[in-house]
Amino acid sequence: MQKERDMEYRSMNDDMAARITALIDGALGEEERAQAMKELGSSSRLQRQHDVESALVATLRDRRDRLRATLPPAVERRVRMAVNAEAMPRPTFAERYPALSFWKWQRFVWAAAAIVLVAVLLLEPSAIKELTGSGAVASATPVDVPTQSYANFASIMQGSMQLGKTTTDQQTLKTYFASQGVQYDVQFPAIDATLKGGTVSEHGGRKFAHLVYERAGHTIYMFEVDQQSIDANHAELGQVVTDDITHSRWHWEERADTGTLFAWKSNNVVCVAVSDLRTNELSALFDLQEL
Amino acid sequence: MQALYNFAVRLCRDSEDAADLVQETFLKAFRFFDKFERGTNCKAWLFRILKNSYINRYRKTSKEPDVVGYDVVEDFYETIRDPNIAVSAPEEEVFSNAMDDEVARAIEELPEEFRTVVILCDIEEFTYEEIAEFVDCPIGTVRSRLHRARKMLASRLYDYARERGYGSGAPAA
Repeated sequence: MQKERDMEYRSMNDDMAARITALIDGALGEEERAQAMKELGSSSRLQRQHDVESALVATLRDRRDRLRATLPPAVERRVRMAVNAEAMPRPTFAERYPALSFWKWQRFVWAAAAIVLVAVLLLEPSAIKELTGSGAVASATPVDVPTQSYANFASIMQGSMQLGKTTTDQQTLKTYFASQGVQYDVQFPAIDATLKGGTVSEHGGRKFAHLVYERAGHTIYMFEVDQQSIDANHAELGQVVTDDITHSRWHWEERADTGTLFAWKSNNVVCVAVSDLRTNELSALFDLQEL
Repeated sequence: MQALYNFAVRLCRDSEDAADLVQETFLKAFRFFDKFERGTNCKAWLFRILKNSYINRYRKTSKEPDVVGYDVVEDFYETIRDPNIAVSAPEEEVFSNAMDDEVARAIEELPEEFRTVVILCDIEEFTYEEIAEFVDCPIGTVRSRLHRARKMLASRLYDYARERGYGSGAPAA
């Protein structure tokens, strides 16, 4: 009986002590915080714990940088190369199953898509708003960035969306974007692919940047939208993409007919990339730090 | 990758093993990318892969130093203050005078589950919620482990301080 009482007493003490730990770390809600403060005021043992633990935590945090093991660049390179090696030699579905492949028929599919697109554009002129750099179309409807990204990627693959500036130099492209009226800081992600150039589109009086990269015959297209334009309802991401970016920092989806889409946020700019690469192949190109 | 590497070094206590572990983590993440649950924390997912890889492969072979047992330090706060020490804030002095390698060694001497929460909270600055996701346990367990881990760590640093001649004897037990 006494043993049981001792265990109960010990467990209660452990709970209170753990609450003091959480209090020190600022990890308590209002109610529990008030409870911890009350317990702290009535127990010299908890007060002692608080003093000692606070001093220890302050010491650890002061020395945080010195206690961290620095990642050697050689290790980072080694990991990157291992992942790239894993990614690049893998045969695509088309190579493995040539007779079944969708990609074998991609010319036909793109041609069909082009016909459908032209028909849509003729019937719904506002849909053209993001496809050219010159057509400034004011509209109250926010541009659906993921859908538009897929459409723009298709246009690039067909050659119907031209680059406003062809260059491999980021600074030149930055200057171009600024000269075209893009008002936010265009992001150039750390990606193992060659920059080909970019173009600018306009929607509701806002200018948006588009980038194109290439890697081993594959195209990576990026549509960038500043958060301010999303907040001002000039652009939208949809609930799923917004939730994913908020909760897990990025979103991806792979569709057999339209390509692979990644979306993430960098310095208050939402970047949406679409490519004909598979998810694993595309993710391997991005700097692993992005994850 | 920096945070993963630091965590791996502290788990394996060997930089070569840590590099292998990080590489294995990224390769597994790459291969099983389709298993990643959309909307969940990607970083937590990577930490879980790393921790599981460590458990499966490295834990058996990694060098375990003499670890501090919690039962030994259970009453540490009651016995810590040496009546012979007339310092207004002895805790600050003990900890601030500790050398970096003593602090690092004291962390390495913690049992693995306690070492993990100290590294993630006090070195890598993750929240309790994130740590709970990483180690796959309730937040209450994170709190409790952290409380015990810090108590063991403080006790170890007091031992080092006494070895260096701080104070004038054993704590008043």
